[in-house]
Amino acid sequence: MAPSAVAAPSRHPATPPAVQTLTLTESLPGFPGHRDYVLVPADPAGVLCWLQSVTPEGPRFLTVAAAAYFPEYVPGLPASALVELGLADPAAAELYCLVTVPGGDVAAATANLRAPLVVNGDTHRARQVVLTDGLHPIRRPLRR
Amino acid sequence: MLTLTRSVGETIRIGDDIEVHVVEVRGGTVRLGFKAPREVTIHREEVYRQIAEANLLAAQVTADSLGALAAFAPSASAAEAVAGEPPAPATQTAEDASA
Repeated sequence: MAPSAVAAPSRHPATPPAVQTLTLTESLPGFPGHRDYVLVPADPAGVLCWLQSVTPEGPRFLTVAAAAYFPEYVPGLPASALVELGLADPAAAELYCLVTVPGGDVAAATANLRAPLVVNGDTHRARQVVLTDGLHPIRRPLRR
Repeated sequence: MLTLTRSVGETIRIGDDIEVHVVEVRGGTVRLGFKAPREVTIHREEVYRQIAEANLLAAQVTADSLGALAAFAPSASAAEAVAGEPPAPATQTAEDASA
């Protein structure tokens, strides 16, 4: 399954990546009251996704699929978060990192690896998990 | 703000199901223990603020940056490399011919 996904040319995806509705078990810090979002692919390969509140005038965030940008990123997720999201297998968690583009300068863009959005793709429940291991930066440069 | 005085080993209860235990006091530092339902998240204030500030900045990203950001993905650069290959075989053929 995974190898075929890798082999598929990202420029011509057979099927466009799907839109996911997400229910957050806890609102994002800084955005209280917003729990219902949609995760919408923002590029043909589906490595960038908008996390868009369903509320009119609600917040919108750009996220990167952590597996696509940071293959080595395998953070230890707290057991409490896994239980809350109903993730029996931590490897089944889909991780998205929120992107910041300071001053609109894409060369300076960073992703938040400290607090990934953890998604259970089966139940569409998600939450931003703040890692406490001190290993993962809040501002990891996206440019290589 | 409500202010209470507690000693080591004593507890404060918030609502029905949140307990705050005073575990240790040493110098100017206090160690606290928390029992709370799973859905109640507990953060050090400065950590919560850092994440909230990062989220507030992240909410300002516009669609202008999408193309450049997509190209930063390792898989995307691999695709670029594949797309950039056609000239390379031609060069190699020329070398083969000259050899």
